[in-house]
Amino acid sequence: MTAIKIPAKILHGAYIARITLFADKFYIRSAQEFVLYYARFFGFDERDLTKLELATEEAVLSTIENSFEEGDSGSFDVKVGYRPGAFVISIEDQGLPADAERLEKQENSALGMLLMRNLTDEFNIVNLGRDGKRIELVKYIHDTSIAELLSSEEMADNPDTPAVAGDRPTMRLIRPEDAPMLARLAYRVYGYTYASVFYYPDKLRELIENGLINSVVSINNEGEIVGNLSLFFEHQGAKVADSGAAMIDPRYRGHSLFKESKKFLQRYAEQNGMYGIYSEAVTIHPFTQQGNMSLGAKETGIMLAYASENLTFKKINNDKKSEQRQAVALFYLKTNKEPRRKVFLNEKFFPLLQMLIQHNELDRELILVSDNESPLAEREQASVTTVVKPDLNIAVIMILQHGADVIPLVAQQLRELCLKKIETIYLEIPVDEAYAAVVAREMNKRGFMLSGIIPELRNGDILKMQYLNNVYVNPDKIVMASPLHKEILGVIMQDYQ
Amino acid sequence: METTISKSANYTVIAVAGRIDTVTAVEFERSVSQAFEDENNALIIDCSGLEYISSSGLRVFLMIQKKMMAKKGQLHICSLRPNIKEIFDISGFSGIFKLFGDLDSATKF
Repeated sequence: MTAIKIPAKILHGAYIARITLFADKFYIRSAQEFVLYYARFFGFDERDLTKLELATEEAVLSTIENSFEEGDSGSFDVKVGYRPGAFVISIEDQGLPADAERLEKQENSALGMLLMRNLTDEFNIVNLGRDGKRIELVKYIHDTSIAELLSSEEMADNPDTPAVAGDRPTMRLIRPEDAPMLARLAYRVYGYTYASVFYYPDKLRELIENGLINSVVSINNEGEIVGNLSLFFEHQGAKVADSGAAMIDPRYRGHSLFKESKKFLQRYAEQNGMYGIYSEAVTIHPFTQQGNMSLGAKETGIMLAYASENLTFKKINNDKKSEQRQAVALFYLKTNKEPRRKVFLNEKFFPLLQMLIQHNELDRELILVSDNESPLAEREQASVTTVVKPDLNIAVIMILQHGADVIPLVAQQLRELCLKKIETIYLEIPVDEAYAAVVAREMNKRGFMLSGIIPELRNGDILKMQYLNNVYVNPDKIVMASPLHKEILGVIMQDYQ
Repeated sequence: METTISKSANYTVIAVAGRIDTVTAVEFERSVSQAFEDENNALIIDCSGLEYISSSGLRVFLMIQKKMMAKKGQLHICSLRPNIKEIFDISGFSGIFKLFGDLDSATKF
């Protein structure tokens, strides 16, 4: 990766730089020069720079033509920013509302939209409610890939079962300099079918340094990393984390490294005042779920159609692919007592969620909002953000704050994600005010099914729902290890059509 | 953006160089309009000097195509640089226009 000379404090801020321009075509070139100036810091080659230049022109032109009436003296902001592994260009305006679906049908904007979609790695039009809208263009940064680090022996697909190692690995927390070796382990365990960040040591290192990933790694006698289990934090210092990226070198299977890693992270969470650890267990076999439960983790839900059917597990299932998009079983391992909170639930989901909350021994006051009640939102303006995960072809719509406009905002995001052919769309609803129950009820009518409850995710619990965009699910192919998970699956599938 | 128009007995060649973006597309359209004034029903746009094109420029190409079809003429486009060819491919324009690798082959109507 080209050395980035942007100071770290600026690089990791909300954005690197911003300019405000009048809504006039005369300023398109200024916007392009501004974007290109910063894009060059990230080592893009000339071909990618030209694509960014063109995508910027199309985004600015679309903003000028569609957000302002002829003769309006409006303005818009161009922001450039960085998030791990990606350069982000945002064009924001407070002009007329517009959405991708409408723009794609309009003769004057359809071609520009087509170009923006194809010139970038991610393209989003985000409606910000009264704050206007944002066109977001994302280009992934080419950095060191695992493919450049692997020896030819490692790159070769060797089907032979490796010899079982006799030594006993030791465990410790990960260090940033471990990133390249961890990337090699990812390949040995998953081939190229796993979540992409583990194939990019530079990205991984950055996430570790920023406190967004912490891991316990197992080291063998030769000093190699042969096992990993990570904690993923939403922000630095978060009280809860998602555990994942369980990787055990095939030579060290049967050494209880996964279980010991879980215990290690459990102790780490207890000692560091974390409320708990989430985990998602695959459902093509029961072993990971059983492992979670044996450590005290409790069921909190199921995410249907989470991972591509191509996600294989080298050396576990003889590279056998699942026959449908894979579901994951959700667990929560409580590590410290959380604050007492009020939780507002809609009538339909109340019985199951009440059971899950009690099962997880969460200190909660449960409030039922019946179907004939229609409480209002406490604020006028909602805050909603959407994250697309291209490697899994899923998206998560996160309601960060309820507001009177939240339902149309989510509905619009859903439409746009469906147009992009995102297969599974999850919705995260904070349940700390009565209006949450109205949102859950309405979204259920629009095709979102229940997924589960995520305790303490964002200073309170999150109700998770899921929308399948023409994805086939056969519940008989989902292996659930516990009776409670079987019951949850049964309830969820009642809404499946 | 610069255009050079040369005419022979059988066809007209418009050589375009530089950038056709939102601002210069208007100028490009104006220059090209001159080519329709002659009697030739065969038009070649030589893109060997074209460095950049946006949707505004692509629309002008589409307009030229429509005008040529209206007068029952033919349009050939040649010598696209790889980055420009990629834009034609992405936008589906490669399937709409008759594209040629060089000027010589484009002159065969």
